[in-house]
Amino acid sequence: MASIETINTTSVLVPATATILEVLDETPDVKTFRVQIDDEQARENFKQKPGQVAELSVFGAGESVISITSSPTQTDYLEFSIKRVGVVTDAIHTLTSGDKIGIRGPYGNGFPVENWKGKNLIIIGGGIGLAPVRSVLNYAIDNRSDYGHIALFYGARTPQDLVFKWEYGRWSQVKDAEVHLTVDCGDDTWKDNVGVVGAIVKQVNPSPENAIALTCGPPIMIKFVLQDLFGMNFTPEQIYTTLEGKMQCCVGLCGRCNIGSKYICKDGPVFSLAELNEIHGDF
Amino acid sequence: MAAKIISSDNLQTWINKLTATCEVYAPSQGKEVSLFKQVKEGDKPALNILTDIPPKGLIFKQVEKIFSYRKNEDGIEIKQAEIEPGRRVIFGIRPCDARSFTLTDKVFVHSDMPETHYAKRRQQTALITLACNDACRTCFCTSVGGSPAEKVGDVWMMDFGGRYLVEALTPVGEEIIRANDDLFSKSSPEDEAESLRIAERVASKMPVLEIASAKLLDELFTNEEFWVRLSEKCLSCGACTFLCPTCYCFDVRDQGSANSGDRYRGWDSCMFYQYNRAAGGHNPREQHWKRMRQRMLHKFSYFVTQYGNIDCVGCGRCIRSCPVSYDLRDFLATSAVAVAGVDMDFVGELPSEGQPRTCDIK
Amino acid sequence: MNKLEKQIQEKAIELLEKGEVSAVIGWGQSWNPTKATPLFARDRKTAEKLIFNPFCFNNLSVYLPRLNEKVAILAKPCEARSIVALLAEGKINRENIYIIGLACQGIVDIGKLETAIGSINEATEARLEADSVVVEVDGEAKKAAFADVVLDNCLSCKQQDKTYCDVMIGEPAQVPTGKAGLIVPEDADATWWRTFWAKEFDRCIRCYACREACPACYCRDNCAVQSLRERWTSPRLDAKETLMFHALRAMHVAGRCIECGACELACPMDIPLTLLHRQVGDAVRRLFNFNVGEKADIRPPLEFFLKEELEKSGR
Repeated sequence: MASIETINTTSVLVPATATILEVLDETPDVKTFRVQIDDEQARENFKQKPGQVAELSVFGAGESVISITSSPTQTDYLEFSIKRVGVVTDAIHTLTSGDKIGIRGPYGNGFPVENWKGKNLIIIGGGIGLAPVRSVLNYAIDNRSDYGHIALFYGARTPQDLVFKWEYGRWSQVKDAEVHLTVDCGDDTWKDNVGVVGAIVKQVNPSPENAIALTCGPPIMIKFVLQDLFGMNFTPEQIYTTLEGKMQCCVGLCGRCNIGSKYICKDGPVFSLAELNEIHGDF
Repeated sequence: MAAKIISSDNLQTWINKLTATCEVYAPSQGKEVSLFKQVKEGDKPALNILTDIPPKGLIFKQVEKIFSYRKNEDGIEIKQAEIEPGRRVIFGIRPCDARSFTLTDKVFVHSDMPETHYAKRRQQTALITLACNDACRTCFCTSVGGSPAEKVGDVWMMDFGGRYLVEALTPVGEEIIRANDDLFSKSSPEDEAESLRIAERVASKMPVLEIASAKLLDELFTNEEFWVRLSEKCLSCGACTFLCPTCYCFDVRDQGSANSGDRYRGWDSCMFYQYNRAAGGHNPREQHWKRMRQRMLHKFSYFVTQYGNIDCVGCGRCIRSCPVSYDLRDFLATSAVAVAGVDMDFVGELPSEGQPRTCDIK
Repeated sequence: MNKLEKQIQEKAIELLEKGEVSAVIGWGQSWNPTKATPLFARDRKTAEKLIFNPFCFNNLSVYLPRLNEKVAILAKPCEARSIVALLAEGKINRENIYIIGLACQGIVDIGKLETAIGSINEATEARLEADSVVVEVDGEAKKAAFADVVLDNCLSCKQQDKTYCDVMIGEPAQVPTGKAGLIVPEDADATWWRTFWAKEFDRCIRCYACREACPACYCRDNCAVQSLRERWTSPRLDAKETLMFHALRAMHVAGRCIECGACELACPMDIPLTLLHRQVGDAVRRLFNFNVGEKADIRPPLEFFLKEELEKSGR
């Protein structure tokens, strides 16, 4: 027989149950869910790092890997901002407070926030891509003295597609931080920047000195933002992103997220550009 | 425990006695295909064949229920599916198939996230390996780190014609032999020498193929034309992956309503279009040649980097079962040349066969 | 190499060197002389490896819908009928294919062959000698009468002298005569069929090789049964589900299936799928008086309604 010292009696594929406390409407197809794990011990054990993900179950529909958008400093609940794109996310969108879901996690490597202490953080988000990097943003804000200047650049196609509108006020008040919002197409009520988020980054021209840039958003946005950052002399080691490739089991077994010799669910989803440049894969 | 000898008649008795205490699975030749079937007392297994279907499904079941769920007043009750207790023996498994479990164990048992259902079934199962007295045209175990007489499993046997040399490899193997001690007799040093001679003879029947290193194969990723040409005739079905003893990709799906149902783990194949297709529609491996590239590189490069072994045991089932008779050894030979940067004008012939190559690049 | 093969290679080289096509799709030698494998010849050297013998069972027209280039294709009557069917459905462009018709005298059924002479996995040579198939295994030449080992499908082939093609190589061959391997009893009723298919589909591993090898199943990647949104099949993969998949596929190819047997030949579990499709094909012929693969300008009957059908149904 294979020498098996201890077999976990509980399969890694079995979720814990959690209750939806509150649902916030962000955009026509994005909702933020505030979720609390039912079992107290499991809740205690679930100590996520910024940038980690969780596997959410809607029983009967299936599982989906969603990034945890709340910072670990928010201990009352876990927040997930979910865009409606398929069977499972459709099903989640029909749920309201009091409903039960399943949760497994936290998984993934998370952002290396320890290494970033003392550095300036430049956070560039596009559309729903703000969700995973918001965990770092709020973590840095809640540990303010550990980090240098914080700059948030966030854009979406239209004002209706902007998420976390209810956070902008608070973020604007943060010490030694700046918030730049933009949309591709404005409307009558929009008073802020108009243009792609990369253009605003170039305009503001943050210094790469002692800085980390993290970006997440649609592939086309990331492509141009990277070009812009290189133009501003950021090195690949300074630039981080989180990959949203298809993940299934999230525990490095099912093979789906295998890219090169890495698994997005285990070795990622956070990668520096330097690391990504070493990987040959289908993204 | 020293190696022993068992006669062919006593071997049958041994099998019968094993069926009394555990579930015994052994090779069986059906009308259409050969596979591992449960043996009842008195059944004579077909020990002289390499089955069409590997015993992979006995431990890594094609469909495995993970848990059932049910809504109640308090919320949702989740009940993990239990593995039926009891011991099992896979009798007459070939070294390549036994080795395939060693490889899959690295992922499902010895990793930092072991998978309970596989691990439990694996723990319950003893492997009684039968060394090979011959090699098929499609066998190439010696090229991927195995051998026709590899000592892998719990008990190892070799057929001397009329009698078998038997050796316990693990404490479980020793226990199995000790429980039927009266059926075995002592072996001699000459028996040991004979086993080495047979092993050598069989191994020499298979040419050792040159396989490029994991690093060089990874770099071959960017040579798109290579992969497009290589996979021209591939139909992108799932036959090779399902009949491969080392392929282990799976899918997790629910069957039921929001109120009650089950969650299953089932075989999936990286060769299927939907395998990597995300809900929003994005599919990084939309073209079938990208999926072929992923399969080959996973087996011969990525798994090597991750776990230290080639994820292939050289059983040749993919070659035999492929609807278009695609020969994986073509990939090994042509990639070995491609990574050397040699002009791919003429790749040459497979070493031992003298058969013309079926796929030329350029 | 026989005369026919020489002619095929010469034709292929001529087309390639003139630049008329970018590839010639045919068959080459595989790891075993009793198994041919599809071969995409793009230059002289590869074209010289083209073969044609009674072991060339793959239906090559399966590759056509996904190609964008102008190709030549070696076509037995099976490929030719598939091409006509695909043209009738508008799935391929006639200008993009150059059809080299071949005089096919029948394809060997490996199952029947192995029943006659034993395992052929270690064959070193295989050839047709007069009326026999000769296979050399371990130095011994084993013989079987060709009529005894030919595919059941070939026994009812009516296309020998009217293969749809641009050029024909070889003289039209005789339709082989022989005994069918699988006999369905005269009184086979629903119960018989249910038991029969339950036993056969017990072996099905849902690899979808049948679907991928079928020229009519051009949906391929977007097949309904693997759809991620609509869950037509359950993950349980039980016998009922498997029967449903095959029945679903049989209905989807009804009126478009030329009963070439590519599905059955692709199946690694040797499930006699052609029987199922022939049953459905019989129904199509009975109900619509339609023979697929004969006319490239007549659409399959299940793709549209005739005016009188609509009127009759009262809609």
